[in-house]
Amino acid sequence: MKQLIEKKKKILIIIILALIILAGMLMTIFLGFNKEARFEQAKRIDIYVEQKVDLEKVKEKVKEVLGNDSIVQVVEVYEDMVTIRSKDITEEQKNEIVNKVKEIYEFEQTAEDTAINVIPTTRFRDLFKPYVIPFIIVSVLVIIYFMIRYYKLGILKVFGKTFLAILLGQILLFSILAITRIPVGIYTPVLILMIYILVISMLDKHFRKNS
Amino acid sequence: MKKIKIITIVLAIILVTLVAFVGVYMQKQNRMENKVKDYQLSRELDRGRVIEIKPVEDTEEGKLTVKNYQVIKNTLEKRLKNLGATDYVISLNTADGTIRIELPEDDNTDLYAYYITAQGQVQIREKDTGVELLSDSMVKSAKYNYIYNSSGYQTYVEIELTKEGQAKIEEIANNYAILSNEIDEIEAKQEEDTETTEETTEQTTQEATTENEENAAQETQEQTKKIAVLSIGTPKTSSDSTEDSEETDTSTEYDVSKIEKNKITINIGTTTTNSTSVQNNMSKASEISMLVSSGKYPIEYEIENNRLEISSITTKQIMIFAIAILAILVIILIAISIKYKLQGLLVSISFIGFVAIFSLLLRYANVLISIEGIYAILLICAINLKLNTDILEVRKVNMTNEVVLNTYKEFFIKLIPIIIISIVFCFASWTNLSSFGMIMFWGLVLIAIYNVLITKTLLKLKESK
Repeated sequence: MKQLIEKKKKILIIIILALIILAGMLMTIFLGFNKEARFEQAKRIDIYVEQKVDLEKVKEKVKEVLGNDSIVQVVEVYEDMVTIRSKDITEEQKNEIVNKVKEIYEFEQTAEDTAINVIPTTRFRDLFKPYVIPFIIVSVLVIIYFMIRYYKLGILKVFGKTFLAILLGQILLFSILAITRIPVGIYTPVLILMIYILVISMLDKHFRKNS
Repeated sequence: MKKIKIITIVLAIILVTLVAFVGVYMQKQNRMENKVKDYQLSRELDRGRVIEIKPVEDTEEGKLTVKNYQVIKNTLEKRLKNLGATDYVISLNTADGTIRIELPEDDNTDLYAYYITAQGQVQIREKDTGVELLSDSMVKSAKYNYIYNSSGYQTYVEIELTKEGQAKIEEIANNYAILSNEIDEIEAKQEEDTETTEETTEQTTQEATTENEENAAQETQEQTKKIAVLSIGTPKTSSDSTEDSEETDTSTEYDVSKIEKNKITINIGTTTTNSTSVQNNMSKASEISMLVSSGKYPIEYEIENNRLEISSITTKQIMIFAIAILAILVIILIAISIKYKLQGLLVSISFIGFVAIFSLLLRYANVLISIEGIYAILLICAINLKLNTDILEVRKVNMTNEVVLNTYKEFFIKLIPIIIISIVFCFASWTNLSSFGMIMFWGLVLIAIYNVLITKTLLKLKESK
């Protein structure tokens, strides 16, 4: 009876995981991932404030015009220039931002002098390419380690389980990212590492328990 | 005595904690300066260089294609890799070919910025007319090395040609003087001839010059091969040999010392025993090899923007995050102290010391802290906390030294997969991953040493009190 419940539990988990992966795949195909603003194609304006900028103050002013969908950064060694990027900046928004910044700082640059530049999009493959080879090397070494350490469980079985768990862990993560629309960007490698280490630790525990 | 020992250790921990989190301040030029080294932060957390390049204005319309832009982007990436850049983001605007490169700000950034638009086109041309004999498209790759002979070190670059290039270089070698010794001979002969002609002009009244001698001189001139030169850089083409284009010719001519099948060997500098000159020649040779091997730019690019951008993640945000983590740790440590009483309190104090030493270690081991690195710091803290609670649990049941040592052993056996991950990532060429690996590595080493030396000693002293 207990075994039957366990089996049912397992099947249920597999179904849920399969559904998440399927939904994630569909989301990726039709909508893609939600790229973090800094890696999306965006528009940029630069304002030379002529004095050291208090980023927080400028951020507040920009937020009033563009909302949360913007990145404000200080530029140059003397920190006397700000660059504002957002998915879209219209002429009116540009004028409004320059005038709002003028409320806190006195400077020469006018809204008319300010140009809107286009920042190209960064492709996912360019962002994650450097991580691929180190992860492959690590996975191969970990699989070899598990195969040697838990050879009694069957080398092929250990290999198959480890390989599948590592792969499924990452697929599941990206499916969740696609479904929840969590922005993919500079924090994603941390999530990848988290899941990777979690999967490896759980596998080790599982093999230890069964050996 | 044991009590004094415990108090000494606790005081030492407090001292280290103060040094790590408050600092050591000394007066320097009327201001107080913290003598404790600062953290090295990665591009996303600190500041980075943003370089934007675009095709030069007079580029032919037909060449401004997405395919060419893509070639340039890939070549650029290869160049950065060859130069040893370990952290960069490249994005391409396919509409106008603008390429945006984000690099960390360090000693090498200006060098990278220079090589981003530098041209390494190899060309062989006729010296007098400038007619192109071998173009850059016939060049495959290049590598550099040096040889030692009796007069010193000679640095050289070996340029490998394509099949088409091999046929062309054979043709050039037959019809032109291209090797440095051939050119020297011809130039010496030409100099000699010029001197003879000058002498003849001066002695216009002398009619001793015989007709035979004149004919011989003419024959020698006919036999003399034309000179071909090899240049690397942004060469002028035969079609733009106007005065204006001469200004943009930034190529440098090199002596060809050997031609062998599909390989041309060029000398970089002269043979020397001076170590500075050898180093300069080697760095020039590596630059040429890198530029030639990484591929060609089908379009000439120029830098439009080169500026420093300070991270959008502010110090305030990092501080808020650090305080939040610290608050969680304090709660956990209080819980441990309540659960395990005095032993728990000692372990908590020891844990604070661990965090302090770890933070100093990261600073003095020059470990770069990236976002992945911050995760590694948290992971190390979690691992250390788990080990400490495991020890406390074991001590509740069995206090013998052997059991505690076994717990340590078992704990580290469980960590083997994580140790593998840490060591491999330590050697990753990508800054963010190597940051994770390095922090994990130092953290695991410290966990192993610190807990045996401090935590275990503290607990042992408490027991035998």
